[in-house]
Amino acid sequence: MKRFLKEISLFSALILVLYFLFYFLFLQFTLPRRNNAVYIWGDSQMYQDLDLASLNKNTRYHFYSSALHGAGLYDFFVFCESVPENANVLVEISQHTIVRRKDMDRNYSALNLHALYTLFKNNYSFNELSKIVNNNVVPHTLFIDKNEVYAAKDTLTLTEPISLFEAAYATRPPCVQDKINIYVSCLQLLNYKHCHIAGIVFPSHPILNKIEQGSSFYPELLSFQAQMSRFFMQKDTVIIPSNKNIFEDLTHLNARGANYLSTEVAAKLNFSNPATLIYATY
Amino acid sequence: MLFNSFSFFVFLCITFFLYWRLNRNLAQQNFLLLIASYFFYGWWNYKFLFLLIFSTFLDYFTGIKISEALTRPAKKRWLFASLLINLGFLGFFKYYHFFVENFAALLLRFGVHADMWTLNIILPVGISFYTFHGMSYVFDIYNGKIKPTRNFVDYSVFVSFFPLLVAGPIERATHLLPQVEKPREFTYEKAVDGLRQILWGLFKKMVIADNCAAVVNMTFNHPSAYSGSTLLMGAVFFAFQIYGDFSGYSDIALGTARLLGFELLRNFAFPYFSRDIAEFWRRWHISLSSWFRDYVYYPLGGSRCGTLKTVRNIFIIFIVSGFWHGANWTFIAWGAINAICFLPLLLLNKNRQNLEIVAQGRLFPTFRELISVVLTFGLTVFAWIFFRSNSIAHACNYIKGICSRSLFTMPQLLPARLLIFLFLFLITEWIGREQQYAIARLGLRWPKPLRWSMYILIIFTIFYCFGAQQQFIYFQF
Repeated sequence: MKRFLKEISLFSALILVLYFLFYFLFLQFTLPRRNNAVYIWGDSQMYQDLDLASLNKNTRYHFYSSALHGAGLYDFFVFCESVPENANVLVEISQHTIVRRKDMDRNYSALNLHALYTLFKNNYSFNELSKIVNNNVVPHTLFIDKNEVYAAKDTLTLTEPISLFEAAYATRPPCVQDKINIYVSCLQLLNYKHCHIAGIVFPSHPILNKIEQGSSFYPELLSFQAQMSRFFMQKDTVIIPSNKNIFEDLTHLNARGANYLSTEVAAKLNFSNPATLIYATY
Repeated sequence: MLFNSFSFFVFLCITFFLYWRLNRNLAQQNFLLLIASYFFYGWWNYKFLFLLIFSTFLDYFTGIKISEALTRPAKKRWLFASLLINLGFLGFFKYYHFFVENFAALLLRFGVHADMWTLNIILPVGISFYTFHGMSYVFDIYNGKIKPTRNFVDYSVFVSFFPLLVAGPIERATHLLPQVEKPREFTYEKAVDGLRQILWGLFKKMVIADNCAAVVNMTFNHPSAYSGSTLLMGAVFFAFQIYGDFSGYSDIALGTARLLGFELLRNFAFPYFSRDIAEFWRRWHISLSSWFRDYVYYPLGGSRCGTLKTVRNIFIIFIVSGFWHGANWTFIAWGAINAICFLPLLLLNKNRQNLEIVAQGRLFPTFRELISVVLTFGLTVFAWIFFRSNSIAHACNYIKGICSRSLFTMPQLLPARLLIFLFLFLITEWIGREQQYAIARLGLRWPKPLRWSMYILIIFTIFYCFGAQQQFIYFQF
């Protein structure tokens, strides 16, 4: 028995060391390291509303995106931990992310103790954290440099009923303040790493705007925007022409809106300037 | 609790250490096994634990009563009482809806619209397995093969031993009960061998079966969307899925039991290297085939009661075996197809012509052996289409889809990584076909660093290449 236990302990230790070594090397090797790299983080709005090909074509930068549908703040923290010091970063300031229920967050990026600890400090339960660990046991490639925007259509495609959004904004989700705190921690971390930050706020469909404005915790959402804007020295606006339908659904632009926005953002982005927050509207 | 889950890993570690800590006290060790087994089962749904305990008590009690009965008719009465209740439970939980729906459909044919009483019945996991454990015990006592045990804990461990509780192998009291009653010794070699078998089982389940499942689900869910070649590939992949899934489960069960000092019945012996259907059935789900042979086929007269009765017996055993798998006509069709393929061999007295392992002692098979293996595999794939389909019509559509002109085009899905895995898997299985499981002897004489590297390679392959987690197919039976 002693021999068995000794060997099994040694073997398990070896497996653990190799696992973490491989995990670390995987993340290091898959992290793009170009001088003109811009690292992007956001949820589905960032994924669908900005065309990476257009940004690459119209700027002197090369864009790498870790935007994901349903990305959670754990993913944002991992992103902030992963980007190199002094990196150029473009991040989404999204109130949908803070309103979304914790269990709906994708949290699919990489294992990171600091990120887990930050979530723990902000009232994430052991169960919620273990689900995140479970999601990330196998490392994933964090960054992509190609994406596909939604096709331009003249009508909305409502894959989720409006009642779902109404329900989401009907009562204040208990996690709002925790998520705001994590958002702040993420931006502080980027500042600490001397990153050149640009932010973007994507537009929502008027129906959703109305639902948001009617919610009981709308003042809290405004306060979130105000808190976020403190991290940016400059503000800028892109107005997307809306004489034709620019939305795929309530939260995402279609190709018409996304292409216009991408071209305009490309023209405005300059990471030599102080941190800029771009409000996209219509 | 799934064998390929973190919770099972923790459960097994705790059970293993506590179990061997109690090495000097057999009663305590068995009691721990019983508690662990009930915990394992209750993790899924604790309410059905009562059914398991009731079923255990029923067979324990009737076993004693059969033994105590002085006359043959009295023994028979107890046997029938036990069978009635056991099969009654099985019939209610597993086949109630099937019979109600088919009865309603039959009445409708005669113009009677019957509003049948349907229930929302949940099938208790493993009911077919533990019911068969208990029934084999009662049969063996009735036939005088064993004496009933008076120790309820020992008997309960035999019925609900967690490695085999939910998906077998279906153990016999003559084989497992004596092991429960005797002290077990920890041996380093056995424990390591158990871990190797668990590792290989996990590889089969998580890399082979779960990756095949993705393609199989696509082709079987939308057969009209795919070409004949893709559908054929889907059917072949299902053959590997079900083999990887079920034999993988059995390997994990056998390996886990070996870690605890038990030897369970072998359930698979490289069935896809069979040269005819008879050999396939000696190598596939061995514990179930032998159960039906001993408790259904032989009592019916087997093959020694004239041609017609032999044909009847063969059909009964295969159709009952199919029906055991699930309450659907597709399983019955699957059983019937196997019976049709098996019958000519039996009638021509060729069913026992391939008793030894294919190409035994040689690396390569002869051309004749190769052709026989491929043809037998083709027949099993054909039968698996019925097994996997939702209905007979679905299976017929699927086969029709295969037998189209597009059979000779390139498949629409070509999962390169999976094909490489399947190729390596088949080679490993072929090399290890004379062993208990494919990697039983592989690398045993290699230097330790090299052997450990092989284990690490398998672990990392499982880790990085596993498919989306699917429940073990045989849990539903």
